[in-house]
Amino acid sequence: MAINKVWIDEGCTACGLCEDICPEVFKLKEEATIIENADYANFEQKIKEAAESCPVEVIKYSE
Amino acid sequence: MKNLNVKYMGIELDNPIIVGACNLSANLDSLKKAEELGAGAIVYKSLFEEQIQLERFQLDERLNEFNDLYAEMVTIHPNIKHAGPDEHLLNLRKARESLSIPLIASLNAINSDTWIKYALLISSETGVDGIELNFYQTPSDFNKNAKEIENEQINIVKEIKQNTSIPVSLKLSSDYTNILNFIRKLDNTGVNAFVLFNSFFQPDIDIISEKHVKSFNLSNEGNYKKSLRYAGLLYENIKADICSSQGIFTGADVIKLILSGASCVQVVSTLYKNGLPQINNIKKELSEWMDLKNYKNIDEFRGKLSKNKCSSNPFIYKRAQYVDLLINSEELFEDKNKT
Repeated sequence: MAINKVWIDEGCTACGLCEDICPEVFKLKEEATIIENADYANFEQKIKEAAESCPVEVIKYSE
Repeated sequence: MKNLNVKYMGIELDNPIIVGACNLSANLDSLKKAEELGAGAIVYKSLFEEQIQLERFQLDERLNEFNDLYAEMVTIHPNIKHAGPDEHLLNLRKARESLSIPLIASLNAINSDTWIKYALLISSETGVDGIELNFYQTPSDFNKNAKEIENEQINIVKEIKQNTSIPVSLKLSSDYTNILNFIRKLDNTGVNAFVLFNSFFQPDIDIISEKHVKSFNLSNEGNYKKSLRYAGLLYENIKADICSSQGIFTGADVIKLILSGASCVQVVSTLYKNGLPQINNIKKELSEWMDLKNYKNIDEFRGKLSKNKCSSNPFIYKRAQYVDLLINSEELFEDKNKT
């Protein structure tokens, strides 16, 4: 299954870990954000890694 | 707020809460925010020799990948070389210039020569207030004994101490045969502080895909207890300062470590899980507790429950097993005194 949506729930601590892992999809502003028109298909593994590594588990995705 | 001043590695800190080396501490915005929220000092993200070696290898690969495309070609790029640690040194210098609180560099090298070379570069070119040597080598050589590993590390520290003018601290793993003996030998080199202990990447496996997975190892609440034990054992037994690290999440954790003998603490995981405002929460909790206990400054209670000052319970820092007789020795001694 391919990732078709990525989003961030409330509670981001702005640690920037997701951007460190997958800068192609995540961008840290006041909180973590998803880059507009990001290419999920090419970075699936990194998105999953970012979601698993998120200390507060707010990164979600659907397949 | 109470007077939370402490002296660490000879550097005056406004308070004992130090942001430990991590990805957060490599970002200028985060550094400024940590300063605004009251961090006592910051340890900048480590310079890793392995990272530089990898980048150098990748650059060489890219520069040379098309060299043999046509028989008459020798090379298609000019003679470009990787800049080594220069980018890191530049970022460190920028960070130092942007902050008013003490900034400590962190170094993690592999080869003895590189340890010394990079430490000297950091010391002479960045203006940082101190340098933290991040010692950890996963044993991979079956023929190398503990003494050889320890002597190598002691010699690196001696060389760096002799050739740098800034304070030097050592961040150690607890995985030495006798960490107390090793620390005493290192203490004799004149090193300024020990950071106890380091957290490391550990491999993990996904059993469905049967592949290794990368995992970001954050500490959990309560993981500070080994650091507490060794702060208690080392306090007033070495000349260097003790900075506790690993699993320190709350003001209560900080109080416990200072009572054991730590001069200050490093926090990382709690900032990832609770955000940078946790620095201020920890300071507030510490200050309120000092109010409650009528302590005017940190020196009044630092080391109060260290091994040297804890004569009522001599076994507490030694026990590793659950033996009722020893764990409850305080009560037993009290009962004996009554009879």
